[in-house]
Amino acid sequence: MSKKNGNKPEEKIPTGKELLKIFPTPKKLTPAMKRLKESTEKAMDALDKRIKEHGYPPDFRH
Amino acid sequence: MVIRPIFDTSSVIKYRTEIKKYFETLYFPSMVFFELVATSINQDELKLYSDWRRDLNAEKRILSPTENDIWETAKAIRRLYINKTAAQTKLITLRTDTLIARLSIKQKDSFIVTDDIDDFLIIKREMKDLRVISADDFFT
Repeated sequence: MSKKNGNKPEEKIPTGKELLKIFPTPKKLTPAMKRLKESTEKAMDALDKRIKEHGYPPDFRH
Repeated sequence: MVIRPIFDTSSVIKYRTEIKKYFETLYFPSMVFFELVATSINQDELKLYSDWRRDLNAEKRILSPTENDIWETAKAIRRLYINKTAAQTKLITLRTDTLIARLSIKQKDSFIVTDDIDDFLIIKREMKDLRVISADDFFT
């Protein structure tokens, strides 16, 4: 096992696929979860549309 | 313990179609909202970010820095500056990322997904407990 910080074992960071296996989307969503799912999808779709129509937003770091 | 992803702005933008799958697990830094909102083009887009913010807030999944976080982050950047870990111009660009890193360390059940892994590896030199994965590795 790889180690860092002395004896502290390094924790594995899951990939996206692993995370979805650990934390699968429940078949039945609560109203709050359903709302969050919908608002996440809409926000990301809005970002997609913005990029297609107006290009990528400026990078604030440069 | 399940650890949850925090996507930085670059990974949200680049992997926007994938992010939707992680609505149930992600934490979201308020600074990423700042960058998305500040560059939004029209009212409809702003409204959708606003709805997303409301729903993430209701789930207590938005992470924001306190005055102490800003103080400690400045000290971390100062150490990078004094130790000449990175060029001065590079350090200027790390402000927001270092704050996101600070939030991730405080929120112990989290890790950062980023398209700028090299920048976060610089930050990790002063924030040893930071957990970070490149967006390429996370999404493939």
